[in-house]
Amino acid sequence: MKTIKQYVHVALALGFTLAAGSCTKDDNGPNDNDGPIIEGNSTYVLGVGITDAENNSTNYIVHTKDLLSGKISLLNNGILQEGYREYTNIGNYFYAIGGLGLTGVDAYYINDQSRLTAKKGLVFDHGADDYLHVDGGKTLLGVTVDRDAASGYEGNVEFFTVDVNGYTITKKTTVPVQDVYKAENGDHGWSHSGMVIRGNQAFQTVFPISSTWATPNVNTNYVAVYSYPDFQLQKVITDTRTGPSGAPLTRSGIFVTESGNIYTLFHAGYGFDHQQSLKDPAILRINAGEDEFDEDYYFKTVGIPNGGKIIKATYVGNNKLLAQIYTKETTSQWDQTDLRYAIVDLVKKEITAVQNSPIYTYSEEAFVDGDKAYLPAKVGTSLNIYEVDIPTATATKGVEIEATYVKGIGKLTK
Amino acid sequence: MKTRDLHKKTPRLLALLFLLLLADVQIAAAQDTTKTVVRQEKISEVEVLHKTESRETKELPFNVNVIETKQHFNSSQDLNKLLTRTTGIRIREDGGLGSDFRFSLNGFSGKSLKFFLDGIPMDNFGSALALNNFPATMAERVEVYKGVVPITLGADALGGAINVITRSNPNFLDVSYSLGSFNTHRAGLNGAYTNENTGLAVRFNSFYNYSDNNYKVHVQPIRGNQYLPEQEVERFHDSYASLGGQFEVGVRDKAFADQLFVGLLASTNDKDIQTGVVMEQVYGAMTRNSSSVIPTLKYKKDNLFVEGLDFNLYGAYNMSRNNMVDTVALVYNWLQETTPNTIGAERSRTQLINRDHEALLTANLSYALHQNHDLALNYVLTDFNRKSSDVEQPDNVAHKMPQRLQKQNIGFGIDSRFGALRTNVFAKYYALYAESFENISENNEPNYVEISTNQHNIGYGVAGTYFFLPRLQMKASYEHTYRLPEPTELLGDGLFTTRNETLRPEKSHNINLGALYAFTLNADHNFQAEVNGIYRDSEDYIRQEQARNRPTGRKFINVGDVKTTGIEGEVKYNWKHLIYSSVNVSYQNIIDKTEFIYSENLSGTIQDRNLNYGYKIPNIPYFFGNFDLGIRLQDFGGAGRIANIHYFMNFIEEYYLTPQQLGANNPDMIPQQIAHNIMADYSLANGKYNIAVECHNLTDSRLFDNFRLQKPGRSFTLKLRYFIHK
Repeated sequence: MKTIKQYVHVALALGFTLAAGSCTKDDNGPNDNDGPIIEGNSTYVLGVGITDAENNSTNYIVHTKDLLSGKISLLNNGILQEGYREYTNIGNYFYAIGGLGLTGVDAYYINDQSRLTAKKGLVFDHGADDYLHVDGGKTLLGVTVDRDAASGYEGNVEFFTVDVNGYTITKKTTVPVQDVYKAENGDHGWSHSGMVIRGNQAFQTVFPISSTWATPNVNTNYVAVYSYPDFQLQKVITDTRTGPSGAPLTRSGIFVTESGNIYTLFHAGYGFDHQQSLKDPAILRINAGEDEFDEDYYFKTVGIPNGGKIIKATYVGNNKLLAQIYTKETTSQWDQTDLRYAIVDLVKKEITAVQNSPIYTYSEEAFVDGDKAYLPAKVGTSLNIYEVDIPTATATKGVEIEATYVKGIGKLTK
Repeated sequence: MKTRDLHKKTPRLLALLFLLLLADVQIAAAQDTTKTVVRQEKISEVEVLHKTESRETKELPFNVNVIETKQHFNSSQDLNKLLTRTTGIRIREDGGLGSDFRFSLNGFSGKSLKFFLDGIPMDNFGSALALNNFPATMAERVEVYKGVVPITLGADALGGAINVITRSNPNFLDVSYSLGSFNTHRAGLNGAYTNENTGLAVRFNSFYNYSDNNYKVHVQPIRGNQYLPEQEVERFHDSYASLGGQFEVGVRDKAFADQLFVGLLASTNDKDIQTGVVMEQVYGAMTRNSSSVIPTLKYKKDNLFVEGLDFNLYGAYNMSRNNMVDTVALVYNWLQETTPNTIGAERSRTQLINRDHEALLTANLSYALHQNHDLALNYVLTDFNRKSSDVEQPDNVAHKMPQRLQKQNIGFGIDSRFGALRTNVFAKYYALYAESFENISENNEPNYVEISTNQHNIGYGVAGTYFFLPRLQMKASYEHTYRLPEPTELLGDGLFTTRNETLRPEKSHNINLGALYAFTLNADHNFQAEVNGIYRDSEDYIRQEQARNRPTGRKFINVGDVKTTGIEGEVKYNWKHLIYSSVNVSYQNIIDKTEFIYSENLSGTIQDRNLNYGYKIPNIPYFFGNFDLGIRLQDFGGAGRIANIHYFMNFIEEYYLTPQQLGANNPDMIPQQIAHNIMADYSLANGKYNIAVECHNLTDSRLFDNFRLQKPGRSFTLKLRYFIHK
């Protein structure tokens, strides 16, 4: 009897331990770091992100041959990126720039075993405000404006170049930010809102803004002109017909055409704190071969058919912009809702509505592939890629992405 | 470099310790042998008494872990290290001694948990008065209340409360000093003296910690924008020093008071910062320091006015200063090479000073209504003010306007016994008053005005325990509990975050179910087994709303539901007081139940599907355990001498930094870890003289508590301790 009691005791104790210990499952750790196999000659790659309930963002790279149908899920799919990333497709590489605590540069490409894999090991000093493709895609140009309120808005504009094939930083140049723009009462600094390279000059739009994101100077359009490639500040040109071009974060301040004409875009929407009246949204021009504003060119984007505030745009060739434009008149500082696609003809000063355009949230960068452009649109809780056929100004709803946002689209070939 | 200044004070401190030690040795030497015998008997009584107190707590209907620190007095480990060896608790550290830590109880952490020192809320006491600085010798025991918190600890604790109870022995002296790897020094001085004739008593607890934390790590240094091959380097900017203490003077056993003590808690610390969130982010000059001065008052009187009416009161006024310094415009790499940093600092130029003032008052009144029924009433007031300044940003408006948070909790409960059943029913009333400021300007000229708000909430709970057998106890408890919002969350910060007065407190339904069973086999095999199941349904987490590319104008909203189920088990065993062993495991399934994440703007609500809905919350350990095995050799090498050899092991299953199910073969993993530790100690003269040697991480495993942040490898410690009491 006593023995039975002892067994019961032991069994009970074991039961407790087992009950607590048996609730674990085996998980498979990572074992395949070689990257997914890419079939066929080329693939589209997308940098996508998810944001969880605790506000943590995680980025992944997914690939597809077909941007027009189906669904891309991240469930056990996609290459996890460490930290938050910016994406840019340059040459035959898809750069994922960012990371946890430092700015790593992972250059994805299709290797000779047809795997989507990355060169790793390059680190930027810090993330840039903008990444430009120069020298026909052989060089990546990073532009950063240091806007540090703590030091009285002193600091530098930094330009650095990366040899894309060599995967090395080749040059860094700095220009004091206050040489470009300095607020009279010192209550704000400025942000980068766009840049283009034309011949031996670089043109950068200047967006006056404070450390608390107030925009007290909205009545002048400033463009800094630098020599290229050595980035010596030549002058800052101004025009009071519009306010500052583009906006921080979304940029889209300045575009250059094949013929060398440069256009600046003031939209009076996203990024402006709306605490004072804003001028009419309008586009100005700097003619080819000149480095001053063309006083005869003024293209107001509101009050015309299909017009509105263009908060983001991509140059798609033949003097045309693919524009992301508000469907409403009244907006607030960081509003990116109720957007639609439109084609802007910079020479004819016409805006054409894109057929079948969604009304969507969040303006993201468009990827131009021939006469098609691909860009994401979030409608309700759904996120899809849309294809816009530029010549016919028609949109087609494409692949559904199960993610919170699409940060970059590119195309890689073997 | 400030850290080293503090360390320079060490010799002075050691001299003081030595003097005290010397004084006491002389006192002890003057005592005759009969007194020693009397004292011996008293020790036994004290031990019995201690056990009873701990067991009493354990027998409460609450789900509570009681960590008896006494058996760890010879160890150089701090309270955090002891707590992380119990069920349900994981303490994740960034690195070595003094590093930032994240205390997690059943998956709850941060503001969801509340910490107490002898019942006084210590959440804002500054980083030197934290559990990673407290030596084991400072506390008699630590009580960990899981999910359901008794009203005597009045607080808006969503996930539980931790109460450190300092030593109550009226006459003792405990002096210890340890020396370990990485130039680690730790000293403890604790004691109490009571004059039995006058009732006059003094009590003191103090500690000193220093480490270079220059342990070796495996890293790929960055030089010229490129990673170099992996190599072993020494940490070079990670030293830590802290000095702190508590001194109390008062009277015991007077007509007007059973205990009346006034005291002072004071502390200071200095920390060098070596890394950011990952090892690749290296710093070489950033520092942080804090100091606190806290006068205290403790009053206790049983049978106040009438028989059975017991009253106690704690008061404290906390004055803390926290300072962060980042002014060196250099980028460091692991080889200690530097390049200029254009941003004027390593991370972000600052010399931020936060000055916190906090009034704390806790009053408990209990009345024995009947032999088996006690009524209890509790009142807690905390009034917190913060003023910030930064010489680097003298015009920052956020620093010019103070923030204030006043909380009042009133708790009412009835504790009843019905034979083998004991119940506790309670209700808690929470009132909150917050002050902040807001920019009401309609133009470019800022116009800041003070704003304030009030909130009220009522929580409640019930706990019961039933003894099926004298040694088989079942427990069940439930609480509907809250975590009240902070001023910034409610009222915004005047700059980037806007007010949201409709914000509700975080709330949770917490259920515990447990059983404790003790039995003896063949008279010599003693077993104690405990199993607890937990269920937490937490809603309305307070988080900042999210929106892409929207730097200002966001507010804090209630978003996020989490369901936690878990099971914890522990078995303790001892044989003839010679061999003792314990094993425990904790498994917690913490599931994200937030289906949509949203933000609001002028155009309405933007909704996003939460892709982690229905999956584990990432970056929280979910399965871990501990194993201990010790041998105690009584009278080893002579009468009154004890030798202990103690092995303990800690296990944590791998877990993921990011949602595990997303991406192919998620590489953001914190790998499975097993740490082996061994300790041997030897006591002479019935515990008066103690010497201990410890080896932590015996196998030199690569350990990480957080993603890729490497923890120390194998380390050794020697500890000397002198202890007398009567």
